[in-house]
Amino acid sequence: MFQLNFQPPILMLELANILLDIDALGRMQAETQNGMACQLSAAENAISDICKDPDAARARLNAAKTSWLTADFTELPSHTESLPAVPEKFTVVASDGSQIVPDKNQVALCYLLNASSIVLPYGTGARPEARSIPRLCYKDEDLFERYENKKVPVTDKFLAIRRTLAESEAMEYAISRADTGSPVVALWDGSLIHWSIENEPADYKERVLSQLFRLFDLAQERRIPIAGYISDPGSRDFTNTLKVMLCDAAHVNCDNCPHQDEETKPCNKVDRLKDSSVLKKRLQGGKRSVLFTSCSKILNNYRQHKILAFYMDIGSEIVRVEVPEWVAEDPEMLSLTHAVCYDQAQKGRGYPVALTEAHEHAVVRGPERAAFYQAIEHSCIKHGARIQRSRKRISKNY
Amino acid sequence: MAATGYIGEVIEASTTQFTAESRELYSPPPFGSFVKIPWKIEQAPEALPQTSPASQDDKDPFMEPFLDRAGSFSADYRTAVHGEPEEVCNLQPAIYAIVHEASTSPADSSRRIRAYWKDEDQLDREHPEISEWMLVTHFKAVVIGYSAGGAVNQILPPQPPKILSHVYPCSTEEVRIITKKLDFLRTLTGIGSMPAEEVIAASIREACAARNNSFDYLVSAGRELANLLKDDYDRLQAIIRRVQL
Repeated sequence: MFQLNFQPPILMLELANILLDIDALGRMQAETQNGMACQLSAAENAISDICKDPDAARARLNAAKTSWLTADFTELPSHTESLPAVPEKFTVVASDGSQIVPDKNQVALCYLLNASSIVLPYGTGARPEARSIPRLCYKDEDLFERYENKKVPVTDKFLAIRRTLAESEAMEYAISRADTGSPVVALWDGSLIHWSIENEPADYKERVLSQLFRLFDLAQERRIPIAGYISDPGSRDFTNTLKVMLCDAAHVNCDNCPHQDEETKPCNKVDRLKDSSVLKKRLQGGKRSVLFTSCSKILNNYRQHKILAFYMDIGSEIVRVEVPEWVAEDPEMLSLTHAVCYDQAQKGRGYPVALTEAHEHAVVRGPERAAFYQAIEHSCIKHGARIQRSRKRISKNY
Repeated sequence: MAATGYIGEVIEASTTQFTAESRELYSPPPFGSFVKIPWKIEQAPEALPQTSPASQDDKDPFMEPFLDRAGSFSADYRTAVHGEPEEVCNLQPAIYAIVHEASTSPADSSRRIRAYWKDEDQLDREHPEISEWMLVTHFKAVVIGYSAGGAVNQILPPQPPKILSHVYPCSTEEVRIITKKLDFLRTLTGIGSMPAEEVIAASIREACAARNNSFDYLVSAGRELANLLKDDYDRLQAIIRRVQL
């Protein structure tokens, strides 16, 4: 019998099968963006309402029961602060971290944490400093976490927290190296609100936070503002506040929402907006917004270090900057943070130089990862340990 | 340049040349200048495999007088092969080389530098990270000889310099001693992957300068070159024009 001896080429991704969907996605994006003007105008109306009677607005906000996090405002949200000048002499410190995650297909179960510290002085005549400290984690206490009185393996979640703690320690070192004769600002990569541990058991949460607060305490003692710098922030806390204002119910309670149809909900008028898009227009020229508080539950454990945030324009985007309460309440430190964040972003063409350098000094690249595992393999062989490669590893040739 | 401090660290080495990272950005040793890498000759035999013959039959009776106790070739062997040492002096064991290339580039090849459109002072003030972390200066040098046991030999050393060994500039006295013989000129003419005429001319200028611009030395260098390049008059002319002091 005749058989067709034809085999189609093997493609990893059959792109042709989703081309129509890709086209539809592009169209949807465009439509979403076209609808923004309408949403922005609704947001502006809500801001005006707040400004007309801020006390009533705050009372309404505090009484609201919503399914989303809202942001309280310390001043009228329409208010902005102009960009202050950077001091003649100042220092920026930063830290970052990276890791090689445990890989059960490798010769030994272990992981690596690499944390960098950066000290970048401007105008002081001092030389910049960079240090990165790798730590090989392979012992019992490294591979297991004490959690709810049990010993549990260190999963990605715990590893991320351990990395954050390593970064925090690296920042402590950077702060200790900075010359406090002139102003110093500590830039933290990302949010200072560690909401991911919000639902962890109290003792674990306390253990992690107390280590993080060592850095906050040190910074506060030396009057060094810590600023969590978030590029392209996706947060919508303030937009959510506007939703509360737009709601037509006398007392906002999402559980008893009278609107059955999602489309007709008054709060949907701003549902596509992020805080940054709401504030973008009024921040142009390096201005910053007022400070917003967050109602993230984890902040109840933050003692005197409760986090507030402002948004600012750095020219190419709106960024979110988070600071502890003691920075927010100190006009000098707040204005220094504002000026330095802007200046760093300008020097780094849109992203702070100190954070870029901290990343560059911490990052573990592919060849370094390969060298790391090779060194471990050599060590095992040298000491006569049996090397066992998983079949998966052999099949993937890595 | 202080002779006491090292000016670079070897990051790549072969028998004939090496590449070093400059200790200071934009400050490699001058083109055509003489540099040295201190060399612990007493350690060299340890680095070599022990050459004790496997059996009595493999033994080469003719080599016996030339092997020292460590199994390496002895000073007698060097004398037998290369003749008497050129210069007996008090120089510490070192590998000598002439700088023939320098470059400054991004320290991390994956981070390309872009223009900042700022003047030098402004860049130093506002972007300390560039000179501190983002750029690195390298220089390359061609090996012309070595000193060992108080003797200077203008022949290639038995082993290349070690990676991460320190590079020092040669003092005027050292330049005088190591350029007394002009065999280094042949080494330089034989290496093609560099602007050889420029390097030769620059090294002769350096060697002359170490002798208070001695005309006699210049003439002898010219004679040596004329001999080496007797079949390439144009190249000879090109070098001589560049040597003019």
